[in-house]
Amino acid sequence: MFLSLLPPFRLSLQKAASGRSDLSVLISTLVTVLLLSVGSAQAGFDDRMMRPAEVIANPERSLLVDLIGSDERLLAIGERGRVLISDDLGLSWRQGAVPVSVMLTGIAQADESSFWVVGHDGIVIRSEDRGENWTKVLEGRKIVELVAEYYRALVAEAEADPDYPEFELEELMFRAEEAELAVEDQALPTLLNVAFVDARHGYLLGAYGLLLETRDGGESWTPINEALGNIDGFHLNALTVTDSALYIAGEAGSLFRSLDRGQSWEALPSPYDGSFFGLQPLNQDSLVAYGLRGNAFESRDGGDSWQPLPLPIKRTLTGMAQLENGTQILVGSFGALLVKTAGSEQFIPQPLPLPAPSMAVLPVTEDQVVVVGLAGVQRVVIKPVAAKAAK
Amino acid sequence: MTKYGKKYSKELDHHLMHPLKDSEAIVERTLFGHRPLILALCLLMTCVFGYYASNLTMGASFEKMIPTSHPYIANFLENKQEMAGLGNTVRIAVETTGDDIYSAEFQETLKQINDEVFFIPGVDRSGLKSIWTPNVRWTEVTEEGFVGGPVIPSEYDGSDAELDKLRANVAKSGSIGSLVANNHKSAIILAPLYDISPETGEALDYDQFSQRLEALVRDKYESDTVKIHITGFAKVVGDLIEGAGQVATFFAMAIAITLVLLLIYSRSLIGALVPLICSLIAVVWQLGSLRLLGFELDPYSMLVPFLVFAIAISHGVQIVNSTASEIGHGFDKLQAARNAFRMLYVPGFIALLSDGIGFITLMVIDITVIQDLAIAASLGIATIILTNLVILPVVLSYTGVRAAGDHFDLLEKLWKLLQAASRPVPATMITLVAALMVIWGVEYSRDLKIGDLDAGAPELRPDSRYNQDNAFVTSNFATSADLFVVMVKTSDDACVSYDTLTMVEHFQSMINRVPGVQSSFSMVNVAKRGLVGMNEGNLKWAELSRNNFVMNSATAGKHVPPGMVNSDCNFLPIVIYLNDHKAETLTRVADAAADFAAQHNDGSVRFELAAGNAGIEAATNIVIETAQYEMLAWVYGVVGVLVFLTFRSVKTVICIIMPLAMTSVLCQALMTYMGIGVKVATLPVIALGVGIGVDYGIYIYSKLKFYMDQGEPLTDAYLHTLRSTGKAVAFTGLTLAIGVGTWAWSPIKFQADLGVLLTFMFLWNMLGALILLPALARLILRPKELPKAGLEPTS
Repeated sequence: MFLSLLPPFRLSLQKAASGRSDLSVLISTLVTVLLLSVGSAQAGFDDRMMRPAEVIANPERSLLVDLIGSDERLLAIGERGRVLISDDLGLSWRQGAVPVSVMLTGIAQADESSFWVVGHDGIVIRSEDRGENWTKVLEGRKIVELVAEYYRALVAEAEADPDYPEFELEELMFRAEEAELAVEDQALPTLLNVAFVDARHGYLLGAYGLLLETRDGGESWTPINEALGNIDGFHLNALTVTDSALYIAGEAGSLFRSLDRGQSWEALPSPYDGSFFGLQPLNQDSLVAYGLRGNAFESRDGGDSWQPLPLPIKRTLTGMAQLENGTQILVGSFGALLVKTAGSEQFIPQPLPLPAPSMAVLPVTEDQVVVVGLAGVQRVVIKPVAAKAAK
Repeated sequence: MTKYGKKYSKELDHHLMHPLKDSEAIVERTLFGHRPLILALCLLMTCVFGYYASNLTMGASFEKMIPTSHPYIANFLENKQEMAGLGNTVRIAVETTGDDIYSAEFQETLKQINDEVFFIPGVDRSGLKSIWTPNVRWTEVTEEGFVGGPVIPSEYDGSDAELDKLRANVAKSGSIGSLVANNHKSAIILAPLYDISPETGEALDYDQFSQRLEALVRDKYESDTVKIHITGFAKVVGDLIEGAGQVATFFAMAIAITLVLLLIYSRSLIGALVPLICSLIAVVWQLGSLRLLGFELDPYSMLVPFLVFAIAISHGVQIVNSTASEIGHGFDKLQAARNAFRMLYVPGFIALLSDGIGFITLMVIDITVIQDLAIAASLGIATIILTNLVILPVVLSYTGVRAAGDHFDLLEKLWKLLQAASRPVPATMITLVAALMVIWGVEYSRDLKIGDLDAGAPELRPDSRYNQDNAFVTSNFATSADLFVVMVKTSDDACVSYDTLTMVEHFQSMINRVPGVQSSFSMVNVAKRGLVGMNEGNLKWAELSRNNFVMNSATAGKHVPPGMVNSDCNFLPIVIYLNDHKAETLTRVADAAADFAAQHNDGSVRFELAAGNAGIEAATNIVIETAQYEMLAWVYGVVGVLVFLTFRSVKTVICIIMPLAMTSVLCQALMTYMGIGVKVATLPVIALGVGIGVDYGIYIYSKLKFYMDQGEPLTDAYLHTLRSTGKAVAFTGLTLAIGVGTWAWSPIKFQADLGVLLTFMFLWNMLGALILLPALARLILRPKELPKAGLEPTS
C-alpha cells in the first residue's frame, strides 16, 4: 500500500531523542532524519526554485510567517515566494519582485537598505533596495555541498587528532556520511530563519541543526553546525542579538548562547523540553523564550536561569513584541493574543479580529501592532486591559 | 403539352402538394360512416388509459435534471463513487432553543437523529457526516506530534466533563461553520444520497424519502426545544411532489373556470360539456400512455397535462363554434358537424402537428427531464388530434349544439374595432408599435439570467418551510454550500506525490484568485496541515516536501478527512467554495479551470471538470444557455416549415410566426422583470408558449384566406373571420388566461411563476393573432394577392 501509515516522523524523533545515550537509537533517528529531511530535486524551469513569485491582488491575505520593519517600511514574508511591502504602517501592501516561489521562512536586515530572506529548498535571496527587488544568492544544492565539505574537513581534522574521543569521531563520521549522501541524492535543506548581527556578520538557521555563518556580508557562507554542540541536530528556529550576547532558540527546548559575538557557543540549561520558537529581549539582560503550548520563560540574567511566565492559556506561542511603553504582546496558535501592560504581572488574552494562528507581531505605533499568520496581515489596537484589571 | 396533359399535371401537382387536403374527404367519410364504432372505441380506450393513468406515479431524479452527456457531468458520473458528499446531499440542521448544543439532552437527540438518518434508504451511509459519525475527527498538534480522535469522546456519558471535552473537540475538529453552527446552537447531519441504490438497484423515491425525513426526523424530534431544518435537492423535490395535490387543486380550479366560461359562451350545457370532456379525455389518454410507456410524472413537468387540456380546449371550442354556426345556417346536426370537420380538419391538423413536432424538438436539449417533458407534451398533442379533431365532431353529430345566436352589439363593436387593424394606417402603426416592443423586449431581456438567482429554491415560496430552513442554514453556517469540484487524475499511487500536489497547488493558487471564489480545499491543504502538524504546528513548514516519504506521512493519519484521495491513489478532488451559484460566477470559475486544464493536461496529472452542486449547475447552465436559442430555433423552424407547406407562402409564415415571436420575446422580458432565471424548470415554458399560440394564428389565417379566396377584400374578410374563428380565439385565450391566472395564488412558487407566464402568453398570443396578424397581412401581402381594393367597404 502506497499510503502506508508511516508514523509522523517527529514522533519517532522525539522518542529516540529522549534516550540519548543509546547510540543505535541515535543512528536510527539520524537515518530517519536523513531520509525525511531531504528530497531530491530536478529543478526544471517550472520548479518553485526557478519560478518567479506571482503578483496577486490581495497579497496581504496570504499565509505570512515573518515580519520586520520600521516606521517607513514594513516587510512581511510567506508562502509562494511572497515578500510584502508596506510604506504606511501596514495599511496597504504590495509585493516585491522575487525570483522564487518557495515558502519563505525568515527575514533579516543587514544594513540600511540590505535585506535577507531565506526559505525552503535552501533558498537565500537578498535585496539591496529595501525589499523592492530580490536576487537569489544561494540555494539548497550549494548549501548541501558546503556542509559536506565542512564535515569532510572536520573528520580529517579529528582523525589527525589522536586525542579525539572515539565515540565523537564515530558520530562525526556518521554525520559526514549523511552529508555526502545528501549531495548524492541532490537533497535540499530547509532554512528556517536568518539573522544579522551587523552588516557583515550573519547567520542562516535551518532544520536538523543546519547553521551557516558569514563574516563578509554574505559573500561567503560557512557551515558551523557543530559549533553549538547541537548533537541531536534539533531544528534551529530563531537567533536573537542583544547588546551582550547572541541567542539561538530551537527544537526540544534547545537554547544556545554566545557571549563573544559568535566565536564560541554554549548550550544553556533549558527550563523546558518542548520547542522554542523565538526569543524576545526585554531590557538589559532580561529576555523571554517562548514556544509550544503556552510555555514562555523569562530570564533576568542573560539566560543562566529561567522562570516560567504564568499564562492564562495553553496555546503555542510563535511571536512576541514589546511596545515603546513596555507593554508585552505574545501571539500564537488559534488566534492567541496575550497582552501584559508594563507594571502588570498578568498576560491578559485579547481577541484577534481573525482568530487564526499567527506567526509574528510587530509594533507600528504606540498602541498598534501588525500581526501576520495564516489569515494574512491583521492590524490590532492593543487595549490597556491589564491597567483596567489592576484597578 | 396537351390540354389534358396540362390538367393532369396540375392535378398531380395538387395531389402531391396537398395530401392532407385530399385525405380530408376519405377521413370524413370513414369517420362519419362509422360513428358508433368510433365512439365505442373511444370509450374503450378511455377506460384502458384511465386505468393506466390512475397508476401513474410521481417521481424525480437528480440525474434526470442534469445534462448527463455534457463532458463535465460525464466526468462527474464516472468518478461519482470517489466523491461521496459532493453530489446530491441533504443537510439536516438540528437546532436547540437552549444556550448551545453541548447539553446531554440535545446530544442524545442529535445522536438519535443521526442513527435514524443512517437507516433511511437512499442515504450513502459511508458518507454520512455529523459530530456523531466516526469520520469526523479532531486533531491537535502537541509536543508529541498529532493527537486526535473522534469528536465524540470514546467514554462519552453525557456528564458535564465529557460535554466540555466534546466542546473542545468540536473546536479542534474544524467543524465549526460546517457541521456546527457559528453560534454553537445547531449541528448539521450531512447525508449524501444515492440516486440508484447500490444494494437494490432501485431509483431513489424522492417522495418517500422526503416523507421519511418528515416522519422519522421532523415529526419525531421537533419539539419546543429542538428545531429541525432540512435542505437539499431531495427536499425541494419532495416538497414539490407533496405540493402536487395543491397544484392539482389549482388545475381543477382552472378547469372549473373554463367550464363556467364555456357555459356562458355557448349558452348551452352540451356546448360546454362536450369540448371540456373531450379535452379531459385527451389528458386521460396522455397520462395513460405515459404510464404505458413507463414514464413517471416529474414535478417539473406537472404542467404538461394542463397544457394538453388547454390546447385541447382551444381546438374543441373552434369545432363547437363552427358546428354551432353551421347549425345556425340551417344544417342538421350531422351535416353541421361534418361541415365543421371539413372546415377545420386541415388547419386543426396543421396546428396540432406544429405543436407536436415543435414540442418534440425539445429533445435536442440534453437534459432527461426536458426530454421526458417533450415526449409527454407531444403524446398529449397526438391524443388531442384523436379526441378533439376526430371524436369531438362525431359526438357533436349526435348531440348537436345550440345554434350560434345573433351577434351581440357589444361584440360587434369589438369586432369593428379589431377590424381596423387590417386597414393600412392602423396596420402600420400597430406593426411599428409591435416592432418597438420587440426591440425593447430584446434589449430588456438581455438581463435574463441563466440558472438560480437566489440562495434558496426558486420553485418554492420565499417564506416556504424549505426556504426558511435554507436561510437558517446559510446564515448560521459559514461554509458555503456552493461547491465546485475539479477532479484530478494521476497515474496509480501518484496522488500525493510532490509533482502531483505541486500542480494541484498551482491550480488552487490560480483558482483562488478568480472573483467569486471564497477558497479551495484539496489534499494539498491536508498535506500542508500534516506537514505543519509533524513540525509542532510551525506554519513555516506549510510547504510541500520534495520527499515522497514525508508526503506520504503528511497525507496519512488522523488529520486526513475521508474522500481526499481514492483507494488506488490516482484520483483527488479539489473542492472550490464559491460565494454564490449565480451564472456569471459559475462561468468564470469553469472557464478559469478549463483554461488551466487545457494548458497543463499534457502531463501525468490531468484536471477534469466538474462535480459538486455548483459544477453540475455550471454544466447545466452551459447546456441551457446554448439550448434556449437552439430550442427556439427548432420550434420556430418546424412551425415555420409546416405553415409554409400548408399555405405555400413565406408571407403567410411571417403573418403567423411574427405574433408568436413577439410573445416569446416579451415573455423573456417578463421573466427578466419577475426575476425568473432560465433553468431546467423554466426553459421549456417559452417553447410551450409557441405551441399554445400557433393554433390561434393558423385558425385565423386559414379563415381569413378562405374569405379572401371568395373575393372579399381584406377588411371584410377579416371582419367575417373575427365573427367566426376570431370569436373562438378570443374566448379561448381569455378563458385559459383567467384559469391559469389563478395559479398566481398557488403555494408552490414554481406553479405561480408558470401561471403568470402562461397567462401572459395565452393573452398575448391571442392579441397577437387578433391584432398583429391582420396588420401584418395588410402590410406585406401584395395588392395582387389582395382582392380588388375597389370592393373595400366604406363603412
